[in-house]
Amino acid sequence: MSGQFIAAEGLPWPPKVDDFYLPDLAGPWVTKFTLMIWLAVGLLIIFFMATYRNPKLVPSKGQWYAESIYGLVRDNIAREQMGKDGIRFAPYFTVLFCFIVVTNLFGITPGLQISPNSHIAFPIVLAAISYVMYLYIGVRKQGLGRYLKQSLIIPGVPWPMHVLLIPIEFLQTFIVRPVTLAVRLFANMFAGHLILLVFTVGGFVMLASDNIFIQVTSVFSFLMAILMAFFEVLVALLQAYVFVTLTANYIGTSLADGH
Amino acid sequence: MDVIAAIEGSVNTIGYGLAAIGPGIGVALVFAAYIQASARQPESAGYNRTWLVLGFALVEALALFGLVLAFAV
Amino acid sequence: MADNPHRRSPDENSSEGVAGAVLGYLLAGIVVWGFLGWLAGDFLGLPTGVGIAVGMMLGAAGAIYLIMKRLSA
Repeated sequence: MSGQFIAAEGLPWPPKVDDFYLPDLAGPWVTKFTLMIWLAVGLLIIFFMATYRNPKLVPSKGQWYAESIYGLVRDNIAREQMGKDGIRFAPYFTVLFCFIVVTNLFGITPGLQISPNSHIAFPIVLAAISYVMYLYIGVRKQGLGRYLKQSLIIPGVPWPMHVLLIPIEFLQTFIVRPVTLAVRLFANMFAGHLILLVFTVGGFVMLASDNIFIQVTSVFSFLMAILMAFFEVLVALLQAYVFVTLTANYIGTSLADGH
Repeated sequence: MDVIAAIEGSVNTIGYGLAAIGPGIGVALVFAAYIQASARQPESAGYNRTWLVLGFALVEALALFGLVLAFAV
Repeated sequence: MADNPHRRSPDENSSEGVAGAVLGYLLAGIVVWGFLGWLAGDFLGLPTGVGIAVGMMLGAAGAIYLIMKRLSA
């Protein structure tokens, strides 16, 4: 975003969905998103390797950061949602949380400027992992029949109501949960990127107009873009937290004993 | 016939936008009342929660009618 | 609920869990029964919109009943 836009007459206005399809870098399989995913994975591996390489009783600064993140996820998410069974899932939740936070924050990192999670494919894979995980854990813990009975049938309901309720429960447990898990993350990052585009590109459109008042007004558009960039930090952290919390919640439901 | 203004795309989305106004206000009222009640009398928070969930569900159902009809009709 | 922490169902533990579960149940109820109502209306040759309206009402009622049973019993 620099002077090249101001001179341009045909500004890309309004922003379209095409703005999310970046050109291929090398063949159809290596795009900017691929590189960003590799970068995120590499960053996480290096960060946790470096900080946990030789842990000390009195932690160094890096080790303190890593332990705070792990402690936050373990105590505030895993234990809060699943009880003490949750502790053994805490490493997975920590990595999931960090991965989503890093990929979300790419949306406002200068030079990267778009989050991989604003493509539905990446949230779908993350949600599919959670989906398979809670189904598998539920079936392994309780057996197929008991797991289905526990998740579909509510105790203490007169039997004609079951006709009404079982389709609702089925759709909720097996379809709505994974879909909302994926769509919530995707829609937040998609909308966030679109908002930033609207205010930034809109600012340049106003600046390029020939009316002095509209040119002055573009200041507010740029201010709003900066404000929204900070708001996006909040959304990035919050969505990662919500995603991991709901995953923990669903796995906890699978683990819970039927009454 | 002279066309003064026209829109492209699905009109249903505008309908859903209009349908979401009322439930938006309603959900705000429900949660505002709950927060106020449990701030004035914290021990009643657990009791009020049942009615919070019921009120939220009743109000939100209207918004979801709009959402489903936007896709269905 | 705070006095009896061991018997809580996991959906009840957090506000995100409750809000997500309420929304999910309502959406599931309205969608599945709206679809069944639309199918029934189509088969019986009812005027357009009657089947889907009745189905959505039924689904919302069932979902609210389910929410009250599951989340605040």
